[in-house]
Amino acid sequence: MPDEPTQQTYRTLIPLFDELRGERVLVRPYRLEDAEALRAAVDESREHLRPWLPFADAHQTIEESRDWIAHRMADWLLRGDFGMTIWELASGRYLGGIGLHPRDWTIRYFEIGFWLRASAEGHGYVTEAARLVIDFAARGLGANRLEIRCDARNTRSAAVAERLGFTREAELRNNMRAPDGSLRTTLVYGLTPADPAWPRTRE
Amino acid sequence: MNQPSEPPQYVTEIPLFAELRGPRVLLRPYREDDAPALFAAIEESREHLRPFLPWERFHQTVADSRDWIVRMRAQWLLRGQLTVGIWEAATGRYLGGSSYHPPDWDARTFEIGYWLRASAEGHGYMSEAVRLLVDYAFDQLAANRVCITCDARNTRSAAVARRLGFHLEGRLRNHMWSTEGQPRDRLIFALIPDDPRYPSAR
Repeated sequence: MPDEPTQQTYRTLIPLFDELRGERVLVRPYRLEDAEALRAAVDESREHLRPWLPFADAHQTIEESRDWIAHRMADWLLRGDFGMTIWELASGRYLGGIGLHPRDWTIRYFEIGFWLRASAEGHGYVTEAARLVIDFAARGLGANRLEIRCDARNTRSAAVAERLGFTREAELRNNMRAPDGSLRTTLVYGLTPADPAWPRTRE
Repeated sequence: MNQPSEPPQYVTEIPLFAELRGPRVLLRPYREDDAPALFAAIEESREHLRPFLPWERFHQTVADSRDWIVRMRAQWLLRGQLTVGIWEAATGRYLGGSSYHPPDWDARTFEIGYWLRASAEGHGYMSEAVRLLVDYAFDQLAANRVCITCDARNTRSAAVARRLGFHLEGRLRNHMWSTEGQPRDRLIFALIPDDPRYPSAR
């Protein structure tokens, strides 16, 4: 069992972070001034997002993006859901989003979701960002289980989970609808403290 | 694939059954006057339920059980959690309970949960009852998926799923917290419309 940093009386007092830095990417919570970067990244990526994610047609205006960000900021404060941005450190370019979604606080089980703007694919940015988030979930939130779910047809997402050392635990047939309304098979990947890829305590 | 002729506009309009009958069991939604029988069955079964089901401790008096029945009746009206009691058809003896967890009415996916009173175990009542609910889901509710999940240590529960031909789709590690406060693995079993139902059923 990892350290127990989340034994707080109030969930809103669980310590979070301002930013996480990797070698090439920076991960931090959303700010209202990210709205234009977010809108532009979604706008360039609609066709690329559409098969897998429900927001391919969202973020049509900067106001819509600001409203969406305000909700993510409120979720962050309430520790209800942790939506974050991914930036390229060298250039300051906005790359995409990554989320840590609490599924069960009793066992401290979180799902990780992510997307990348179309022009930033293929450089391993999501893998690097996910490692930072996994590290925070394990050490900062005392997670006992992390999960990545994706459509079985989404081979790029599945490859990220496998690259991160997650184990494919289940294939759920017809368990939900894809954005086009078709029934999909969902792959479930899990990572637990027993796995080699689980973050080790710092020396 | 099952397609309902014209899906109702409101989920509260989705038709449901008044009762389901098998050779030996009868399933129907609870009525408030079932509270004493339900409470007595829980009383006799606490040790047997406690390792896997968290709710026995919420039934400390007959009034607790009656309150729960009222809330389940409301859930039935709203097409949320759909809970039935199970009775032995011949004697009218109360045997246990089963539910469709709140369905995803858009994707038409269902999960079934169940429990049997301690003294009714080992006669195949549960397999018969769950089979009625599986058939109703596919044949009347146009289910695209019916699943059963349980603690990996709950071999009796898993045996019901296996006996009905459910496929083991996976084992999610540390996915649930046991009633004793330990992380537990969860088994997920499912049937979809193309699967042969009950290939091994007796």
